Amino acid sequence: MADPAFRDAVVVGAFQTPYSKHPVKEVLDLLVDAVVGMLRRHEIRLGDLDGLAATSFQLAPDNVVTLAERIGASPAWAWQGAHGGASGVMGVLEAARAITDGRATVVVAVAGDSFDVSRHMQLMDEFNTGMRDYLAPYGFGGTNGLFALVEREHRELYGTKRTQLAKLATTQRANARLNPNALLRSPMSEEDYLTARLIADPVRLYDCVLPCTGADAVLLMSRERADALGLPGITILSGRSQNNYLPLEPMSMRTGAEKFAADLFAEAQVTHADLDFAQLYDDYPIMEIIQLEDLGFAKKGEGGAFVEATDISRAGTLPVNTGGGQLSCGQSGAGGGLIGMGGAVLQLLGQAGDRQLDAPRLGLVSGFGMVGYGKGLSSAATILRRDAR
Amino acid sequence: MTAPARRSVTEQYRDMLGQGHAGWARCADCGRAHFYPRPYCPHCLSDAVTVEPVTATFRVRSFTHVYRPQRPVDGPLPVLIIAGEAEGITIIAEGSDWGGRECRIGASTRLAVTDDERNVPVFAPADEGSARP
Repeated sequence: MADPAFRDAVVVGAFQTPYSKHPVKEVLDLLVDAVVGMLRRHEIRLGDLDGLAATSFQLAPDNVVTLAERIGASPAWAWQGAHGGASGVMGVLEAARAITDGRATVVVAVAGDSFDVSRHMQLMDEFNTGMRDYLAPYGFGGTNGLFALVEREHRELYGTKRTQLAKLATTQRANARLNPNALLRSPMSEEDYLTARLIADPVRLYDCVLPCTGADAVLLMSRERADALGLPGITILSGRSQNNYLPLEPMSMRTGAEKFAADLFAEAQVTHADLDFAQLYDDYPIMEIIQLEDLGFAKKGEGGAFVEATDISRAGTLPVNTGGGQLSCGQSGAGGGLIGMGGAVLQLLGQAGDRQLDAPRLGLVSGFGMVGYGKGLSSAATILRRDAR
Repeated sequence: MTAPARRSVTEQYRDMLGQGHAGWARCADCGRAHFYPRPYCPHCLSDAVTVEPVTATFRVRSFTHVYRPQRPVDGPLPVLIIAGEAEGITIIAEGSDWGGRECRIGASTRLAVTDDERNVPVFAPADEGSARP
């Protein structure tokens, strides 16, 4: 049986604001656009919205409650994420728990930021005290430098190849070419990826996400309400999270997913082979490989070989990041933690347009982020199932 | 009458840098080191944590040359960043004085302190021989 914590909730929709390379408005108003856009798409009245989950790096001095004020909403339940790229998945899981607990009936989970490259670098310089005090005084390059350390060690220990990373980046780019909201849609070859300019060796330009502006939203409601409205739903079979796994390790060689993967699949009662797609948190291709290992698709050190041996295209056995992922869509700050969830929802509801897979039933979404002194502190993942119609 | 407040581990760490020594924290109860310094030992939760000068020789776990620092830097680009490990503790710091020597995984390195206004720990080659390819 699926995890009863999520039993009475279903996910019924996803929405994205237009993505842009430069800030177009204040972040609070960007999040408002996403929430209101989500409600309008499904013709939900504002008075019916009684739960709100929000994550944004730039939201201070605002917060999820002042976001509700700006919208004019009156939610009984409100949650704000502090888990960076894991917050998107966590917010949806928390919303489903709140609905199952009877604390809310209709919830929007939203995440986004008004970023561009310079605002992102500024954030990296003062992200948290660990990073500010012990890394920022160096020109460590923000996460680019930190994940370069990870990629080099992974290659040294396990023989992971740049061509394996290239397969992720180029496959996602091909997917993004069918996604009108992706910011990077020009063709990218393996050669383009391998020879792009160095950012922090061995990390090159197309290993790095483009910090951008945008917001993503997901709509959940009680199963009863969704049935009454005739909305097809998605069931959360299982969902797990972990923070500060391996407390004193400052490199993201192993993520919290390693700790919860067995439970995640056991609770969902599905195997890896049952999955119709995976939306992996892709701040860097090396982190997709490490998550594939930690989530149990491959043994530690064999994620690169797994990618090489697996058809991860939309026509393949395990399509990965079917909308292009952050690597090709852009990383809208905390929105990068919800973009995979949104993509999964559209796929399972059959609303993914030109990039729609053939009637997918089961999907996995992972999140990862909140880099502190060196590593990404937070991990989350969920397994979703399209309900029978 | 109250006892004078003990300097916090963060203050001890900064004091030590000011004296030209890179520090890490060690717990007097369990004997184990950690970095960055925390008020309670993350191994045993003891508050008998003090900052001591790091004398250990580190092994280069990984390194990168950063061409795009997140803030303007005074020195030349790229910036060498090293993850060094000793006693099971990994510290990430800039590499300094590697000159023409190639930084490589497995090389020996030790912590020194910059004499610029940043006053931060940096990884220097432990000796001529160990840092050679």
